[in-house]
Amino acid sequence: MFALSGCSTHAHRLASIRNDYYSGHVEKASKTIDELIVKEKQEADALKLDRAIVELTSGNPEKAEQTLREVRDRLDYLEQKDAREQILAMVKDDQSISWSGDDYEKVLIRTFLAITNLMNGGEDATAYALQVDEKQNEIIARIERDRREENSQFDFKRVALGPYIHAAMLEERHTDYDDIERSRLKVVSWETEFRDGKLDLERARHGRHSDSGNGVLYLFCMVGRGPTKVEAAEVPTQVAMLIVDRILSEVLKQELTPTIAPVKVPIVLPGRSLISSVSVLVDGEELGTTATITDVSQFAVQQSEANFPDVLARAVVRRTLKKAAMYAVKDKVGAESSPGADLALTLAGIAWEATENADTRGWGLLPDQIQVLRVELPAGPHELELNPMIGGAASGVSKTLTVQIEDGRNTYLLGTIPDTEFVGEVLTSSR
Amino acid sequence: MDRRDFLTTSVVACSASVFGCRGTQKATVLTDADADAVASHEAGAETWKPLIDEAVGRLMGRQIQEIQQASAQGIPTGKKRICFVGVENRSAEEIGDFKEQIYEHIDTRLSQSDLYGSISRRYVEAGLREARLRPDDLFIPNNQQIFMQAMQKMNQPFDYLLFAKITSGTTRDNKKYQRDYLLTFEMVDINTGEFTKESATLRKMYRNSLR
Repeated sequence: MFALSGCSTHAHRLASIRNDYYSGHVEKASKTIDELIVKEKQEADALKLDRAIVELTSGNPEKAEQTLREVRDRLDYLEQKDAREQILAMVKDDQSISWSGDDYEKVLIRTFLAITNLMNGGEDATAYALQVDEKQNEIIARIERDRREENSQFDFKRVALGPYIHAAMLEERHTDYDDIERSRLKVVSWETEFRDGKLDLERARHGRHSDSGNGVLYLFCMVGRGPTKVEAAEVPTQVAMLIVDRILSEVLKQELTPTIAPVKVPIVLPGRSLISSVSVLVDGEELGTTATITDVSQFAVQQSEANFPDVLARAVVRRTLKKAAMYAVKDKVGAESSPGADLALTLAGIAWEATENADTRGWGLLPDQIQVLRVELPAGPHELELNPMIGGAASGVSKTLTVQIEDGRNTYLLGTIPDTEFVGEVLTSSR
Repeated sequence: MDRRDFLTTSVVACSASVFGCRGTQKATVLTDADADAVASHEAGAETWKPLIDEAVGRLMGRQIQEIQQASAQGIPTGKKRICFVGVENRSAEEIGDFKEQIYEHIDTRLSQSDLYGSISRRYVEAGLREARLRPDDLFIPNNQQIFMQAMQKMNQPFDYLLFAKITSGTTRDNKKYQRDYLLTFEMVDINTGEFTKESATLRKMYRNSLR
């Protein structure tokens, strides 16, 4: 269905960064990102998101949070459409529009802000977790408002990590069990496959944070290589053509037949995970394995597919207008009576269309999945061993570290495993 | 329109008619004289503030009566210490960041009174953590004793336990619906086990405007 092509797009530039980062060359990836931020202004915001991931993995959550916050605010501003950019996009391509991120990226920025803040004192993590919900509600409200008959089947997939963190933070306070229950209910209904959802809900309803003298350890793992946006040549679908027809009839008095030739559009390809989970050994005893709470690839692909008819329609409208513009010029210069001018203008038109590239700007260093594990431990220091697992067997390189568990409190850990070994640092919130 | 005009008009029309320029977000500081904004989809400041004022006022009013009666009988009355355990949201809505505000509003109103002194929330949380009790466990007398001991260990004895609860009731009528918000205070005298209940209600109508 898709004919993939590679040229001078963000996806092309990102390939080496992804390879370096995922294979553990974090510093090299960081250097390339910094160089590109200066060089490719139109891609700077997307690249800054990658830099935030690198900063987080390098053990600098404070800086990562600052970067994520900056991009969040900028994308919120750029969500508004600008007439000048829209006109330019019709003449050139969608890369002329300032990048404001896809819906899934806007939700994930807030999700990562919450996780990052947990590793950085946690004072704002509850606020960020609430923002995840707020942004999702805002997106759903917009979709409902703009919903067209053509894509009425769209169902927004929600990210359950926001309420999961919200509940974890509240549990530590030992007071707001009603809110904890609400958040745990969201996790269960939004992420029905999440292994620990029902257990967490049961604890919220009838249990307590931990037994006296115990604390809780939360392990977050960024697993696998995340989704990517690539350029594809796509034949307009029936749904897309209906949208095209609607756009053209809304703004033009004259009938215009849209082109049905393939157009260049961005598509999101899912990432992949080599490991299935991470097992946790505490003081030599295995206490459990992580479970997936957010399938980032699935979320990104689903969101992208839902918006795809609109993206495709915009590309077809652009192509149609370009063709119409060439006919207008041919009319004006009388190309019908001059075969040379006709050929020259036809070639110019082809060249104009060929310069078009799909907008593949996006967050390139996301994980494929976010996995979590909650374990209750006696207060005090503990030796931890984290083992990547494939199926039921330990595989890859394990990581050992010491964590301090506090009575009645939470301790958070964050690790990144793109393939079968940890990349960068395993961050801990314990002081 | 012929093709000659097309180039100059179509692209511009296609974009400029639909989009404008990006605006910047601005804000103004509201004074006490300015009315609160009315939330269109859920309860906001316009709902919670008057509810709190009314419910706290009623609670105080009842306590003043009881204190006057006690004074008349020669029973000594002093400032009572209240342990405000928290706000439980059992309404149909999420109150998000407003929950903390509601707690703080109530706590501030209580602190301002001549009748009560409230215990810092940090001590309340520490006491619950120390005793590993949930707020709803505190309705059991044994648990009350355990919690009281935990608070006394922190030099924070108290006379009353106070619980706040938010509930809602929705009445639907085609494209509009009425939602009644109820804020209830339940106060338990830790020495006698006596129970006081006060509440305030506010009704709000929501309607969908035509597109």
